Formats: sequence, structure tokens, C-alpha cells
Amino acid sequence: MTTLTAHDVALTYRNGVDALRSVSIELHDHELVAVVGPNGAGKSTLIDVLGGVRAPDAGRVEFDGVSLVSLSAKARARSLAHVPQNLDSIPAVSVERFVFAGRYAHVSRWRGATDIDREAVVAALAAADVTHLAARQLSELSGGQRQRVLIARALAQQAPMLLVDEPTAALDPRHQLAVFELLSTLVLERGRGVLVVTHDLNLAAQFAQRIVLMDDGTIVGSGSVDEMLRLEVLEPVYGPRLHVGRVDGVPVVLPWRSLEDSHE
Amino acid sequence: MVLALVLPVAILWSATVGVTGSLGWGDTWRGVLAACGWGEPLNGTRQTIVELRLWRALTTAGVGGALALSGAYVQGLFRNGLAAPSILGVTSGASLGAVIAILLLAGYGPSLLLTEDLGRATYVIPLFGAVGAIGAVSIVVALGSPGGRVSVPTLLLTGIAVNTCIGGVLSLISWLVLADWDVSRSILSWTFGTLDDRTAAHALTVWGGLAIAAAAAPFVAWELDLVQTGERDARALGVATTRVRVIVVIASSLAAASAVAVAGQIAFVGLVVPHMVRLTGTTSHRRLLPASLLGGALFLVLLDTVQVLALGAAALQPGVVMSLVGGPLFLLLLLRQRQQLEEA
Repeated sequence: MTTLTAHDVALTYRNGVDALRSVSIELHDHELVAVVGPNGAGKSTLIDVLGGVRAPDAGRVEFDGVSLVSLSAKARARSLAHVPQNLDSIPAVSVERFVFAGRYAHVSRWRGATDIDREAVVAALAAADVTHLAARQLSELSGGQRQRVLIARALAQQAPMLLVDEPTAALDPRHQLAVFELLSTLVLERGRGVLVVTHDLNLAAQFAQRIVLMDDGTIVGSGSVDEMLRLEVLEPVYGPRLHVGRVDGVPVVLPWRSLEDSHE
Repeated sequence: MVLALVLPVAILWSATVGVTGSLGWGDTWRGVLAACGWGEPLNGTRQTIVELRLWRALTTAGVGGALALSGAYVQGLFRNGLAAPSILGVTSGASLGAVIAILLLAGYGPSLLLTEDLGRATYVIPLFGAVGAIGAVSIVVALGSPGGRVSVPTLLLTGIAVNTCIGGVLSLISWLVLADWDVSRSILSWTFGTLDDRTAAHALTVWGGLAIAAAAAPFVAWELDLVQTGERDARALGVATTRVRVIVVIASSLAAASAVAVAGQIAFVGLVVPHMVRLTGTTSHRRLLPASLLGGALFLVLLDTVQVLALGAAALQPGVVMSLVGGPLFLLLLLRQRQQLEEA
């Protein structure tokens, strides 16, 4: 079993904001964990720290018991893949070339790419259902296509764990569902461990095995969908204007303006 | 690849022409072989002329290659096609070093160098230029990376600030020695850049610096491609971004420093040549870096040869030519790029 663990990690930004205060969390293979919480709760910072992209001020992050700090950048990238919310700039490359960047941690500087690398790219393109886009320029793609390509690049890294930051932020409902179905397939059929940061409680409800609720740099609760998506748990964090119902037995959370509010 | 084959021919062509008239290809070739120790030298002054022109051409090629490679590195690191080697303080630092050398040679300050043969100016000024360039880059990097963290925007702003400071000191010196006609003239002509009287030592200096800088390319080329989507993203893919930044800063300042030290200020090569290479559709640094090196060498050699051919004895300093040609050329490239962007 593969495990990613954070022990009491804390991180303060230079402007004095405590992004994380003593956060502990575990992620295993074969599970999809959704990290939810209001804006500024520290979710994206947690992804950076778990992925080793940013070092915490205190505490430690371990992959299978080995501290991330002691791993080389390439060794870390072979264990943990990161799907960013967006890129600083869209490079002028084809989808295939872009996905090939996921092989950076595997390719030897002097021997160059091997058949194993090429096969990994082909497999990643197929798994994310973007094989038909391989020859297209990255800049030509729609938001939904680009999100799948970002996931394909992370899959090419062949890391057992994926850290996914807000994958559905700019997508229409159909593509939101498609992205979560893809992530879920990776967990159920390929045994990956996936940690996804999302604002969408309802997608989390349908796909996550576990929900972690964050607020103000700390984890305020963690548990199954049924345990977490209850008014008593959500209201202290999101405020009172919520409605929790059920569709097909799965909790549904809606921002809800009650009748009393509308008469004020 | 084509560039690698064309460059030696261009250097040879450049050696056939000079302000004292043209020599045949055959004579030049024999003279070049003789300079390398193979075959009989040409008679009389002709052998000397060929050798002088050869060193000039080799130095010119090295300077062009080093500036363009340095520009390609810096543009990759700063993710900005408008970045130039001078951004790290290389050019202004070299200027300060050279100006100090000129002052010392002219007898200002301790008269240590006054007794020396003034013919050594061709070596003393580049040496001081190199020290100045490395000194300025060191200051920019030291101030621009607080706590050992090299941050690209901080580096950029620190570079601008240090450049401004050095520019102020240079203005002050120029003003103070304004009455000293010879010194003012030396300072001014250094800022034009010079390729006259270049010897084997100059060619070796610039090619040596260039070789070390180019040797760094395989360690950072793919990495520079990956950094284009953001440092955080590159780090997540497994790029050791700090190491890449350190290597690129050292390599680019070494290349630019060795070029500026032997030839003075030659503007725009570092900015324009990588741009022209990119226009051919080359975006991967694994091709962009070597293509910029060869393209820069070819560009400056051809430019210098053409202007010597065209103007003869009235030939200009390459820094002047480059400023005259480089500015409009850069403007043209920008306008073309804007057109492409608007069409897209």
C-alpha cells in the first residue's frame, strides 16, 4: 500500500497570513479524497505542500515513510503527480509534446526518450481520452479538453498518487462530470490515490470516498460523504444559507436563499 | 545544422575582405593554414593582414555567438522575449570596469599603470571589463536572491536598479573627465564597441567563455522549456528549478561578459537573434540555444563583412552598425509578430 502523509504541517506566507496551521492528513492508493472548504481555507497551499512543490515551515510530509525533502526533484515527481488548476502561460506545442513533459522525471538526460516513454505517453493520452487531440496545438483546445490534457500529462508521470487542484472550475456541467468520472476510473481501475481540491460539494458527494473539510488553514473535519455533508458540519464553515437534500440517496448541497431572507 | 556549415565559410569570406582591400579566397585560405602552422606563409605583409583579419573575424563570430546565446538563455529564464543579457548588469558592469581601466591607463588614481606600455590597453581594458561584468552580475544575484531563494521578478528589478546605479556612476565619471579630451574620447569609443586590433588572445577569450556557456546547454535546455508554464508547474514535473536558475545565470553572464570584455558594447544581438530564430518556428530550447549561438555568430560576421565591403576605409564600428541596423530590425520583428497575434 502506498501512503502520502502530512504531519502537523504549517506554512505562513511572507505577508503574515497563516495558510496552514498544523494540518495532518493521509492519502492512500485506491481512494479518492475530496478536500473542500471556503475560499482562502488553504486547500491549494495544502496541495503544494503535499506535492513537495513548496516546503512547509513546520511539520513534515512523507511518501511511504520517506520525507519528501530527502527525495530528489525527479524522484518526487515519479511518486506524486500534480494537476494544476491552470498554467502561467500556454506553450506553443502540440498536445503530444505537452503530455511528453510528464516524462521529464523518467527520461535520462543522455540516453533520451525510450520506447517505454513513448508507450507511457500513448497510454496516458488514451486513459484521459485525448488521443484524437494528440496532434492539435495546446492553445487551440477548449477548457474541458485542456483539463483532460493536463490530467494526461500527470498520468504520463506514472506516479501512484495524483494531486488535482480545482479541475472543474471553468467547465460546464457535462465536462465537470466527465473529469470526475475520469478521476474515479483512475482510482477504481488503476488503483491510483487521488486527492482533489474542489468547491463542488455535489461532485465530491458522488465520487469521493472521503471528504476533508478545511477552514482558515486547518482541517475542521474528515469522514465519509454521509458524515460530512450535513448541515451541522457545513454551517459553521459556510454559514447558514445552505440546503442539504438527497438525490438517489446521495447528499446534495445547495446554496439556498430561504423565504425569510427574501422578505428582508 | 546548415548554420554550422555556413559559419566557417562566412568567417573565411570575412577574412578575405578588409579596409585595405580584398585578397583572393585561395590566398586567404593559404594564409589561414599558415597561421595554423600548416604550409608556407604568404609573402610580406599579406600574411600579417590575413592573420589580423582572421582574428577579427573569429572574435566577431565569437562575440555574436556569445551575445545571442546569452540572450536566448536570459529570455528563456525570464520567460520574456524582451529580456537581454544586459538585464543582469553584464553590460553596465563591463562598462564601469572598462572606464576604470581607461582612467588608470590615463594616469588617474595610483600611477601603477602609467609606466606600462600603453599598447597593453587592448588587454587591460577587456580584463577590467570582465571583472566589472562579473562583479555587477554578482551584486545583482546577491541582492536579487534574498535568503538564497532566487526569485525571477526580484532578479529582474534588482538588475534594473543596479544598472541604473552603475549608469549614474558612469555619467558622473564622464562628466568629471569631460575636459580631458583623450580620456573622454576613449570612453566614448569603448561604448561604440570595437573589433579592431583583435588578436588571438581576444578570440580565445570570447570562444573560451562561449564554450563553457554552451556546455551548460544540455543541462538546462529541456528544463527551460518546462519552466515556460510556470516555475511551480516545472517543479511539480521534477525540475530542480533553483539549480536551473543558477546554471542559466552563470552561463549567460559568462557568455555576455566575455563578449563585452573583448568587443565593448554591441547592442541588440542578444535581443534580436533569438527572436529571429524563434520566427523560424523553433521554440524548443534544445534547438533554440545552439541555433542562436550559430545564428548570432553568422549574423555579426556577415554584418561586419558587408559593412566593410560597402564602406571600405570609412567602415564603422560594429556597435554603431548594430545600433543602426538592430533597432529598425527589432521594430520590424515586433510589427510582424503583432500582425500574427492579431490574425490569430
